[in-house]
Amino acid sequence: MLVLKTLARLGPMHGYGIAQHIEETSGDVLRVEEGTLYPALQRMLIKGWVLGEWRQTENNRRARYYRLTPAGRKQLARELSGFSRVMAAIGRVIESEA
Amino acid sequence: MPLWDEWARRWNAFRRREQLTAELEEEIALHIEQRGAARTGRAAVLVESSREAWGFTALDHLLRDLRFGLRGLVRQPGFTLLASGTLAIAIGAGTAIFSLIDAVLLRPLPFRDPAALVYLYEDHARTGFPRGDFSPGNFRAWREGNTTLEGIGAYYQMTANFTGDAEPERLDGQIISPGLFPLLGVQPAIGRLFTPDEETPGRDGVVILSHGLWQRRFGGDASLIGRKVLMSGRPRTVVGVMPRRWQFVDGNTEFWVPLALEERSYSRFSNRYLHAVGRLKPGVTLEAANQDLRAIAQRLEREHPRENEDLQPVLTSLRDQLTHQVRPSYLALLGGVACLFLIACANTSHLVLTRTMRRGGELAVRASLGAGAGRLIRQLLTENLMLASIAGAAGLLIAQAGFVLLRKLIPGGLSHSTELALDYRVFGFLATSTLAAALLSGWWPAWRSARSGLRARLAAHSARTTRSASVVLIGLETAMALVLLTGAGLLIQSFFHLRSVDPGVRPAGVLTMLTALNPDSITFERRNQFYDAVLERVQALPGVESAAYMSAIPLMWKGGTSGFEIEGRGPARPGQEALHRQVTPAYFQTLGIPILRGRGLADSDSAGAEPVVVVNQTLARHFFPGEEALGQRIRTSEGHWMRIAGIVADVREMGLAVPPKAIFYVSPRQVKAMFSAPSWLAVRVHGDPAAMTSAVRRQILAVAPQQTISNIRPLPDVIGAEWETRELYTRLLTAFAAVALLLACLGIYGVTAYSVAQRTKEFGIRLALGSPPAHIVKSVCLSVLRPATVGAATGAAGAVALSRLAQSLLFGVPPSNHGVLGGAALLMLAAALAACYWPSRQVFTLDPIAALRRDGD
Repeated sequence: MLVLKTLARLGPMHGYGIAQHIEETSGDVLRVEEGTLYPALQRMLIKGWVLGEWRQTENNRRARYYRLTPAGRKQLARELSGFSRVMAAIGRVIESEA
Repeated sequence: MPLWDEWARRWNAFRRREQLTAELEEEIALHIEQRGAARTGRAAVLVESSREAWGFTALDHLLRDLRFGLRGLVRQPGFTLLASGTLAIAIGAGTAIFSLIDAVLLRPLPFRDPAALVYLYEDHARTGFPRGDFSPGNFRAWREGNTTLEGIGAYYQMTANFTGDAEPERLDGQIISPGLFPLLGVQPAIGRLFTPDEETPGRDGVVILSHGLWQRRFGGDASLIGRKVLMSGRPRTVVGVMPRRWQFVDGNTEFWVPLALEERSYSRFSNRYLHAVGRLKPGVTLEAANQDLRAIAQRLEREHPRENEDLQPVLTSLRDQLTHQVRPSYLALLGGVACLFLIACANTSHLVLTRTMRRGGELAVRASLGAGAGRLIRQLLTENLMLASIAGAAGLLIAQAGFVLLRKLIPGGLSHSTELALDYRVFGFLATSTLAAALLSGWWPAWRSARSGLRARLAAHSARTTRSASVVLIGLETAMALVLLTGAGLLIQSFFHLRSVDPGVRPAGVLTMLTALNPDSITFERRNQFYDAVLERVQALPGVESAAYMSAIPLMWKGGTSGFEIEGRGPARPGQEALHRQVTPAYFQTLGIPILRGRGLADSDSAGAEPVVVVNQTLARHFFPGEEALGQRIRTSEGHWMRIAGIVADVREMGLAVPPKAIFYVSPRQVKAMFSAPSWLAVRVHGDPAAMTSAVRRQILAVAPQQTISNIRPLPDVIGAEWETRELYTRLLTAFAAVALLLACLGIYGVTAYSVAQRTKEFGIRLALGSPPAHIVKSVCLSVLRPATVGAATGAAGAVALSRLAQSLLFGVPPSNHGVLGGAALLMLAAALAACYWPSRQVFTLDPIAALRRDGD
């Protein structure tokens, strides 16, 4: 979900960039292990949620940029709504506790 | 369809996996570089786990395993050849035997709803006919009295001389109740079947031809229907032709004529010559039908106590009737290949284990690189599957070669309708046994080496587990091989017993042939003139010692009994019967049957003279115990009193394995009845009997130009046919046993050689410490012989149990034969000793220093 959201917000990015962005925006709370990231990206490629294409990076290296597809956007919406439902539920549980 | 697209992308990823992997590697390398935390090996794991997402890893791994395995197998051709060769023999033999069992015991018979077809017999085991025939009188009672059968029809075999339209020819056929064909659910190829009406005497002048006869003799001419053919002098109208290859119960039937019995015949209960096949009504069990018949039997016993004493009708499935004689032999063969299969798997298992242990280093590296135990096992099993597949392919060829041999073991009643072929069932069996072989011989080494591979492979550890495995393998192989050796030993002994049985005749130098009586020579006077003329001419041939006419060559007609009465003792008691043979005077001389007392038959025993009979020893001993049989008088139900003029030695008319039965011989000049009128000619010659064939033929044709002459065979061949099939079974099982022994020895050799190689260093230390090499050799041999002995003991117990089950296959040998069992056990253990001594011998020449320097394997 975070990967999809990142791509939705910033447009096409390469793997390292995605990891960097998530770590920075989360204030280094969420660390993205490459061991999780790349299998996840491959899975999303297979599912058709993202597309990959090779481009030059800023410092002139070849890297694969991932771009969200319409299917990916739909999936993001689904996951976001699911996530906020769960968050709301957790919130209610915590409040009733207090 | 998103799912569809997903699979398409997966497939795409799989097809382009090399490129995609390279891309992944590049991508991840860049990532790690940017991160600045470079750890070796990390990248490879990352690539590997990311690839899993494509979902084709299993297939991908399989392909890699296959390629890898193939390279390994090619690199070690010796191993590949030995392992797959061993499995190929087992799989091939197993497949061949299965195809035989499938064809004969499993496939449905080629009739409508064959499971409901039943065969009816009367149990006359008391008089030597456990599946005996029955009389027309009883048949009518069975047919009309039962309430459990949809229908039942009788039949018996006959022969007829076809003349007129082409060369005279003697052909086998069946006389059959018209109602039997519809019961079997058959339609003729052309024409029609019999009508119920044609069961009436006088309206039965019709015949149905086999497809083969129609093609061969009548050129497949459809206009033959409605025309008449001359059969043994009687014209019959051809009404139909059966479908190609269609046969019923007997594989050589060329024609069918309706069974039309006179009312007179139905009132007779002593002539037993009918067989019958019926169909159970839907929902009726065999047991219920049998009960039904037993109730009728009780009535028949009451009404005809003399002919039907202790009457025991039995219904059995038609398949049982056709196959009961071969079933035990088939099961023995099946047991044999099963043993062979297990031995082959055990052997291959050990071969594979040794090989993988040698590759321990490679496996350990792979394990430390992160290959899981499951992954390693999968790879090793894949390799084994390849090995087994090679074996399966070779086994296919072996099986096909075996068909030629096994075809001879199909019982005659099925030989026309079934074939040994590589159909889908046999192929399925082959595939299953190949897979089983791969798993059986592979799982243990795979599991073992994968585990020891993960444990960083401590040499001592793996050596110990290998050894304990070897103990099991050696025990198993010895046990299986011993079972086979014992079985083969018992069969071989039975075979030689059978061969050493004195048939009661001196077969060497005797030529036999059938000259089925012509319609012209069928009357009493005519046929005697024919015998006299032929015998006179044949006896005049140079090189001919003597010649005789007879009802049947011994072993060619296992039946033809007559009840008889002894003068002064009242009517014939049940079981007071004997084989009834008409023979011309030179019979005893020609076949070499010694006359023990009195005289043989003479030319003077003619129609006008006092009727005489010659009996065999069994008849004299059995019916005149402690009495003088010579001079007594006996008579059959139809005949006149005949004086016993001589006693001759016994002949095994009913089969070599069957004790001699009572026989009486009469001269054709003193018997008016057609029953058992001689039609077989035997000629004793100096030199090769086969060389006389054409000369004898010419003399017969000079007497009767239209005479058919068939079944020309030297007498030794006739007797040899008695043990032909048994010889084949014996050879097959002996071959299995020999292969099993060889494989077991190879296995023991391999286990010992491997263990010696592994323990070289240990032996070096022991030698250096002053242990005599003989001690070491002894300990190595003992470590092999101990499990072998345990295996042999287990095998011996198994062999005793199994051979008791297979008792019906043995002849003159008790199943728990200590000689055979002990001999087999000795042979097995001696072979085991040789097989373990040979490789351990090298300890004698082992140089302790060199051994110690060697790096532990």
